Amino acid sequence: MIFEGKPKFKGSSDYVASPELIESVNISLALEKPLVIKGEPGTGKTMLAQSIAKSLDMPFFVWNIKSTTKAKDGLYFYDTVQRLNDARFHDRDISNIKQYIKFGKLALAFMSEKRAVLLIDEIDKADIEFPNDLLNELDEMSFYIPETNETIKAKHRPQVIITSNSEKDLPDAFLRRCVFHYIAFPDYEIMKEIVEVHFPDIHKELLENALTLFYQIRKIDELKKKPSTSELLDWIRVLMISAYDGKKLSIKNLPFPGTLLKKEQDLDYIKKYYAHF
Amino acid sequence: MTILSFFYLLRQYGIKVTTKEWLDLYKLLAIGEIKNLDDLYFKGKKVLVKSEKLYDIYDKAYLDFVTAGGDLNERLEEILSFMEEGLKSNESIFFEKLGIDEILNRLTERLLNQKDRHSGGGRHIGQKGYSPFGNAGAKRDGVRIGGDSHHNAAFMVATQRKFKNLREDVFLDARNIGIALKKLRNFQNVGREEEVDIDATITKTAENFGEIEIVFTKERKNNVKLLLLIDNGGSMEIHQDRVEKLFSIAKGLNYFKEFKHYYFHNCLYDFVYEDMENERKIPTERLFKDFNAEWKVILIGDALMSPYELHNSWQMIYRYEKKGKTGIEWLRLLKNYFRSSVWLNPISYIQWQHQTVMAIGKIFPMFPLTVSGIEEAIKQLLKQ
Repeated sequence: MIFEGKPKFKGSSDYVASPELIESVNISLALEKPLVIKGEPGTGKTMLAQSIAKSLDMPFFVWNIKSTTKAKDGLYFYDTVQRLNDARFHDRDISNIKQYIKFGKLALAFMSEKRAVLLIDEIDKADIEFPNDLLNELDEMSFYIPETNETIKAKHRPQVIITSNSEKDLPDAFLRRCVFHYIAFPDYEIMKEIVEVHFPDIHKELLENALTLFYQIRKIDELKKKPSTSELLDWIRVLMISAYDGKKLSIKNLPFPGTLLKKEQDLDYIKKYYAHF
Repeated sequence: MTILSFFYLLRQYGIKVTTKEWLDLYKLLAIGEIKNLDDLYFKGKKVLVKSEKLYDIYDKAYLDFVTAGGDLNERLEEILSFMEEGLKSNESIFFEKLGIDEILNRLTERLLNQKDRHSGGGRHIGQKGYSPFGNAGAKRDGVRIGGDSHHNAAFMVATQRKFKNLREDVFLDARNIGIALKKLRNFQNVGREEEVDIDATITKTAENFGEIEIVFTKERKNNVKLLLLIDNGGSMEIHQDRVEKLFSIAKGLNYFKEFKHYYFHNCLYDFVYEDMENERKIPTERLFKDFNAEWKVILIGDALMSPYELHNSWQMIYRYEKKGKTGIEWLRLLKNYFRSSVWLNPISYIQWQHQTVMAIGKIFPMFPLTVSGIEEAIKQLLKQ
């Protein structure tokens, strides 16, 4: 079969992926399509790409997106200022424009000798139009540099992993070309496993009561920023260090609330309606 | 019941699966990634559904599909064997040579033929009585497809409908409203060309080998001016949370060229108020002087009142004097003055059959106060 011999991702030793996520990765590897991973912060989206690269022994490139990032930044940058500088001070022969072309992460992934993994991290940070500007390059896996009259074509289609915190909706035209995976917030049972990986000797009662309280707090819709996995882990760490009695945990008596809730309004809200601390 | 009907079912439910995406599913079939109904559910979701907001609808469509009758596993086997045959006979060039459209055509043809052939036999897989919205009384308890454990996991997951809360029509969170409101934009280059474009200047100068060439540009700004008129009458109290949310987000976005808001009580009468306590009042007339017709107006209110309150003036209602404009006149005036205006209603759609809601809905395009409602309203505002 034509798709035989395609690498298969199974997760790596330092990254535990859910079977469903592994499936998504393998589908996108098989279809040679970018994989869009969407989910709340702290669900391990960025780690995934690294883990794929590591376990399949593929070169790894990271393109971190900021609000000012333009699609062209991923391709190349013509350093005209350097060229001007060189011309003025006769440092180098300036006739070869190629030496002033600096490649972006997307271009580097195209040019890689081995099939590479490219992480486009937090694509939603950029302008709404940004993903559409990448459509052509991701479809064709090639682009043209007018300055040097060169076309850069991917030797192997890189495996593109795109993460999004859903601050902005991604355009449909873009999503159609991708495999989509949504990481739901871990439920009680999975969260229990996650906490146990971090704190293998946690007292059972403390763990269960803390988790129950954590999910109770997450259910309060009025909170501006709901606590996520990283806040939970911090909170449990503090509870363990202070040898807190798990029996005493309740929303009325919420210890170390500042570790769980990072916004003052949220603390005020809990104080007003639920707790007395 | 063929696999193709799943495609149409999804589209019917509002998941706009494109042919290209559907072919991704076939590719998965061809490479052996889809072997049973579980695979179809889980892997189909990844290539066909591109937003978690649609997951719940997908679950519903899938449930409808598998419970609509016929032996699906058998059907799936047929598709798989067809794929295998194709791959065997043509090996690796199967996809490249035939082209995707041709594969789709052949598959469809084959499935259609099969359907005819079966029609005489005992395993007729008809679409009789089948309706995605299930009012025909067909019992879909999943027993009919039973006897096979393959689809159970998918069936369980789909029945749980875990993603219900993510659905667009019920989900009104701050980020979503923000995204929706941001679509209310009209970027324009404003002012004269007086801003120095530093990047372009450097590039130009460098390209000129040091001959300085300064490039000017205009500033690009969202040119939309938004006027929010909010009903804070008694019956609106239960919706206060949602209205407040929308208001604080619109204000906090800092996205519009200008943003103003006023409150009104029940219906628009002679005065609007700057504060929620209805203390600092401003004649409604002033709106037409202070704001030009370019302003986009969003009114938020339940539009629920007694007909008397809509068809009488403020003076008549509160002072028993026969003068002044009636509520509905003020609303019409507002509608005619501003080029684009919409009404967002927080009450559920079922209650819209109310007399005054319908009367106001005839004046302003009315949308529910949900994320998708806001999106629709904004589309309308940009159209007008």
